[in-house]
Amino acid sequence: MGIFDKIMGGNTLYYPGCMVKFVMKNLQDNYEEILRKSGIDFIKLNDLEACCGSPVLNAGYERDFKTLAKKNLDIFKKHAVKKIITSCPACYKTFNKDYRELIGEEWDVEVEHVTQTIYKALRKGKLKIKNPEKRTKLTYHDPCHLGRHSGIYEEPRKILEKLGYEIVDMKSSKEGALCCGGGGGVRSNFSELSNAITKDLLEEAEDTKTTVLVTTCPMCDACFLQGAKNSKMNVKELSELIIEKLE
Amino acid sequence: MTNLKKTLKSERVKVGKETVIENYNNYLENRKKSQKDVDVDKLKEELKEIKKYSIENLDELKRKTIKNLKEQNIQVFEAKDAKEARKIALKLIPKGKKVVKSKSNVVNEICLERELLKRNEFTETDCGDFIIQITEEKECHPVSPAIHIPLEKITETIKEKFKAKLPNDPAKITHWIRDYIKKKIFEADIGITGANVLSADGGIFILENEGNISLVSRLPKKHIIITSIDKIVPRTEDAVKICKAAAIWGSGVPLPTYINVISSLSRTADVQKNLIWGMYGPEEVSVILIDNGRSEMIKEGFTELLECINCGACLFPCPIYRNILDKYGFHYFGGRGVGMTVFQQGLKEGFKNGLYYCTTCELCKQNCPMDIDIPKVIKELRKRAVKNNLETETNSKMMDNIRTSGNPFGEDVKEGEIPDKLYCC
Ligand code: SF4
Ligand code: SF4
Repeated sequence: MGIFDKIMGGNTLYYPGCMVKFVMKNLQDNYEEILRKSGIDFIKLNDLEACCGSPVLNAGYERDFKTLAKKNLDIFKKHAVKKIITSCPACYKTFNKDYRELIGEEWDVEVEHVTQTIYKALRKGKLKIKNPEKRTKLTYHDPCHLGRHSGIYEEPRKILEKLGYEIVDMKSSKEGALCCGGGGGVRSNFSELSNAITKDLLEEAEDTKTTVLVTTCPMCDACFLQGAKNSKMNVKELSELIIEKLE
Repeated sequence: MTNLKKTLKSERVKVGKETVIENYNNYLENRKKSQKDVDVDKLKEELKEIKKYSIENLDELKRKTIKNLKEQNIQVFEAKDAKEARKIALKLIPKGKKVVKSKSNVVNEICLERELLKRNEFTETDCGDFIIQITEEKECHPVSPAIHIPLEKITETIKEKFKAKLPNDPAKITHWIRDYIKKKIFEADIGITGANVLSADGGIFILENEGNISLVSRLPKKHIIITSIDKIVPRTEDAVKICKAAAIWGSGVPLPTYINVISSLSRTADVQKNLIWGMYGPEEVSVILIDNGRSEMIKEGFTELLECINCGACLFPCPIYRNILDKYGFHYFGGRGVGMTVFQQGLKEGFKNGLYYCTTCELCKQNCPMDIDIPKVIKELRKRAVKNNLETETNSKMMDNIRTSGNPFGEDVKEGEIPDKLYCC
């Protein structure tokens, strides 16, 4: 975006979130490509931006959370960020709910989860995908931060359908979807407990008789990938399925 | 701290978890069916309003409740904590007397059973609680306390302790327990129950499906009701709504089998209009009304936890509860249980018993008739823990990373590898 646009409309920031930026780096490349192909003009702030603060707030470090939010608010202002697109459900929820709660009026940034962006682009025909040859069955996991916390259940499902997949829901899905075991700091603090929870979910996924488990959260993805070593499920993050089918 | 590795592998957790998961969808279906003729949103809204009003006006409602009960010859004792409640109860229960008890979470909360076992003949009359008593286990759910005890263990215990010949058959075992307990209730001097709701217009509401509570509260000469101040609502109509919700969310039925309403000593005035107290019911009814941290919860803004109607619906879907059962909490279980622990046993005990287990997944909130935002409460209590220097080692490492490099992983993430410590979310 040029200086003029910046002043007029502000910038759109792609915010991958720490999980994607530091651990699941391939997802960042995927989403950047998808966004570019969707005709989205976005900026990146790389190491200028800080962690959104989700794990910090969840662990009870209120002061540090405020410091991070302030730091991000300043940097977003400096770069005229008017809209954030993020591929992490936890960051989405944090910017959308917790920042709004903490900062109030001054937080006038529109926040979008990447599945909302992509679904719009698909609908408007801006993002083109190869015609699906046959409908393959898979199952989709609703990440807690995207589903129950934010009410986004449909966009990821509709994207998958447009890609030519048929979703077989797990016994517990949407509002009742199980937890991957990764949230609230449980993965890092109590790994055995977290593994047990991941296993419960993978078992439900196996019960669908499909072989692919797709999610759209880097934390769920990481938990499943680690847990799937002993499971029949083939774990995918949504962007991987989109990339395969881009024209 | 709980030994998680051991707990996760334990037989009791394995059995309990299997029972929970196997029965969960069934329960959800029943719950849905039981809501067929109910405007659920409206009921939930009304419940929230009742509970909010009750907590806001607790002092006044409590005074009214006590006054109304006393006028009907029911004794009322107030206890500020578990110790005081135990003392009052033990004074009301002479040594050596035969005592029967029905399900009550508040009685568990004050650890009365431990004392009674030392000096009285004491029998649990709820089938599940009786199983817990004879197997010397610990209950793990407020509505279904013995889901973690396998059938074989129950049969074996009965065979061994009571020399009864029984096959491994749930119906036969249940009937044996029924007959045994019924006899004990008939012989008992004192019956102890809890209460689901108290209405300030003078009603004590106790729900049940088994039928033991009607007997425990009617047959022995003395009835002692041990309950807590958060059970008080303004009117009978409000209490009935809570009973309905407790049945729907607690057992997946539209109504409990029985709702006992007790509002006075039994009485008659049939001999020439002379009012005589104490007919077929007990001759003495006492209520012990305990606070035990609840006023503090209100004072400190944690009123949401007191809106709980103890249905247990938040536990079955909770990923942590499913995997460690009663080790998530103390006297009360799940995220809500951890919250109660902080106020009843202290922040340190809360920290040790699961303050950091919650994944904040919101499955509990989504299932709660009162929409209690349990993970939000947990997060507030974690803030309090941090302020009191109660941190997990992992979290302080994460915070070092955040403070020095602005991200939770710090410098030690290796390209293409998922690290062991996924400090995120
Ligand atoms: S939010 Fe916490 S307490 Fe509630 S269901 Fe999830 S893990 Fe359990
Ligand atoms: S927190 Fe809600 S779901 Fe859990 S026991 Fe209480 S009322 Fe029931």
